[in-house]
Amino acid sequence: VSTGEFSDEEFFRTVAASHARALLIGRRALIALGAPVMTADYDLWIHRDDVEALNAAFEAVSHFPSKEPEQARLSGRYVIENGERIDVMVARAASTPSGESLAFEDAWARRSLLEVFRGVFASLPCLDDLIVTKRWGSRPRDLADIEWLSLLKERA
Amino acid sequence: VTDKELPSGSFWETPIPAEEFARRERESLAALAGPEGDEMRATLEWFARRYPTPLARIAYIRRKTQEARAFQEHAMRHMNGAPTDEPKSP
Repeated sequence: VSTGEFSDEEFFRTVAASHARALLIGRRALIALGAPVMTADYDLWIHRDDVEALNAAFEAVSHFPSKEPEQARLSGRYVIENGERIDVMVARAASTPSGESLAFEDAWARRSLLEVFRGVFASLPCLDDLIVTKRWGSRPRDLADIEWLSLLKERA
Repeated sequence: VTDKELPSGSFWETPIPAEEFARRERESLAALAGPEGDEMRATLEWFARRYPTPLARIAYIRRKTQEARAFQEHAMRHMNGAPTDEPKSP
């Protein structure tokens, strides 16, 4: 079994090759868009019907899911890991503590495509939806991220 | 990468009640009209200019995150009195 040496190119190539409906969220999304914030993980929000497709693609590069697909769908979250840690959210929708809801289908419909490197694209929520995802956690670090996202909106 | 983005103490990770979060969000966004916002805009400009592709940006942050972690681990070992691998003074 590989120890999981994993390049960022390989991550994005693997997600694209899986054909899963997968949105890059979390701080790696902010970084890809141009905000200099720190993180150690990838975060994906995927369609609940695409768990198997995503897992199969990552298993081919020696990264393995922490839960069986049905269990992941039930809990709404799981992790794919080996050399890289990928937090995967499977929920149909999520709400902020103040009750603002965001459905995956809506975020997917409004997604933006970012060319990460030549010919390989990542799907990201639009900036307004990324701001909503930051309200889910409602932590001080999320406030800082919302500031960066608001400035990125100014530039868009 | 500024102090504002350094990783993770419990303060950064503790959820804030909804009303308080909304209030702080409004205040944070209003503050972007001032010098703090200008500084952040300048940082965005620099980051985009210095690392023009998403992959280059991710690679830079990965390197900086690893450096920050290594520094934190070193500092923790030092605070706990454990021997470190830094060169000894003569």
